[in-house]
Amino acid sequence: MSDDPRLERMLRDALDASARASVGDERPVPPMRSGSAPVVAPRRSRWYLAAPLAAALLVVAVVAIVLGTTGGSAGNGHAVAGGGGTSPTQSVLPQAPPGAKPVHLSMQLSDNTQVGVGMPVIAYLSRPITDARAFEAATTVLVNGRAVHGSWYFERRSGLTGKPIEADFRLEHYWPAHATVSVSVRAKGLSAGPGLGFQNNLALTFRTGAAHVVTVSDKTHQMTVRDDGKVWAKFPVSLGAPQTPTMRGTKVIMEKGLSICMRGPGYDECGVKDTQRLTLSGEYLHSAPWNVFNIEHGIDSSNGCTNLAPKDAAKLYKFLEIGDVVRYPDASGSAMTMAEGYGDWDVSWSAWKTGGLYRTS
Amino acid sequence: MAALTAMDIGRDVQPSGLPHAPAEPARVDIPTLYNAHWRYLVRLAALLVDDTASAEDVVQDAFVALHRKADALRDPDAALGYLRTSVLNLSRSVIRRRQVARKHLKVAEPEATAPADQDVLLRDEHRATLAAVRALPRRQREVLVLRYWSGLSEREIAESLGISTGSVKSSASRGMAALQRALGAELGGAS
Repeated sequence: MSDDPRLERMLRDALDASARASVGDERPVPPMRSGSAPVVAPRRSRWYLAAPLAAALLVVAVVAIVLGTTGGSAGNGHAVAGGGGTSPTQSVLPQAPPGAKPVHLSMQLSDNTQVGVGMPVIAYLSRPITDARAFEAATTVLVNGRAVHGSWYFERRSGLTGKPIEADFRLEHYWPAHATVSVSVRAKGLSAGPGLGFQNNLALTFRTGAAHVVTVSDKTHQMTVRDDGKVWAKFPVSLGAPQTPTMRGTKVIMEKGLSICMRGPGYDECGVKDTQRLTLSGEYLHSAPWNVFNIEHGIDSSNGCTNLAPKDAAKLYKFLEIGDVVRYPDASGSAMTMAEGYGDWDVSWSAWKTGGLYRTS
Repeated sequence: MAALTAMDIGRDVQPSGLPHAPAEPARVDIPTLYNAHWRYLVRLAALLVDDTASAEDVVQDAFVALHRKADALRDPDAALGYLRTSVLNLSRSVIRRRQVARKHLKVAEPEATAPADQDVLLRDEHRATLAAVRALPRRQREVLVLRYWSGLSEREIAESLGISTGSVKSSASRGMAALQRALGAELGGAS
């Protein structure tokens, strides 16, 4: 629509800054205006009209979980409607007792970010828990307004102060491209195991861009970049040398840096251009003007990074975004793991559904 | 308990774009939509009406309207689209009411909308860009917000605004050209 990417960037940034200034990421969602509540489900309207607003919203929240996730009408809301005078949530999900140790929840992404289709939803827990079933059951995820089936996977995470446990949410396959995804975890007050209770709810809305999936072949030393399924470009690459091989598996772009310093055994290089991080230990896609011969002749020679010719690295840097998928199906290194970054796609779906560190069902 | 598990993971399906079983179409409930989209919709409205209080009113009204429109609830995709269109229409009414009020005040005011309260928090270059956006004709501003902030496709923008994709294209290119003229100095000549 415009030929000036700088103007587009300026506009995006300004609109985003203005949007965030109007409603901060931290601001809780206020209650819905009372006048609109009774219309949700006429069958239950008596309850809404009789109860004070706060209680009504509690019911609404539970109904939300039930309706949003069961898909059919068979069991919809009966447990709630039949609750009568007792608090309906008690009959649905286990509550934390008074005085339970609080588990604070936070999200890694901020609202309304655009990410690639491989981006996991990452939540942090402020302390270890013993039961994740209520957390899982209190989760609703909508893609373009439609409820989808996915699961949380828990891992210990070191290095982040006050966030010892990480929970990642994903679907069986990548997110749909060009979609709006909303994640809601109504965990506040629910049990996280004996003596433990979740302190707050989580809500996150983000968007996915085009499906950018990059496949890097160690056999052909070629990178194939797909854009919504169509081949967008092919670039020659040089991967890790035999003593420092590139990890095998599916990685996801974690951060981008136009010019950074890279240090490791035997190298300390600043001004490395067009870098896109793939692992915590430091595998990147980046420009390697010093290594063009090896890149062009299919010789693996790096410290594990994927080296690209400068013009290719620059094109790729502009094209890819955080959350885009980079696959190394036949690289010669060890298998990519979640501890190494966004290794979420390296866990099989059947293993994922069990919940990892904590059982989710 | 089993029936209430949030994610029926044994029955995982491709998340979107695939037709759902016709017998039991997916249902969407308003509280979930509200919790999930409140922040997005208020921000969208705020980008159009320039003040948060009016933006919040717009979104509350949009949800009231959704309650009345039971049909939209049968299809979750339609519900979000319906909400977005409501927010756009209601934002337009807010601006119209404000213009009428201003006429009756008979006080000389600058043509462009007064800067929003939250602008003090913004950096200079953002402030200049936003001032240029506010000076655009209504349609161009709506299209640019939906295109560059909401990230909607041309077709989605056309549906949201009830106009043709051709109009979306021309509004966007006219809007961008106007911004280019207004912000030429900020953009600089080089690179």
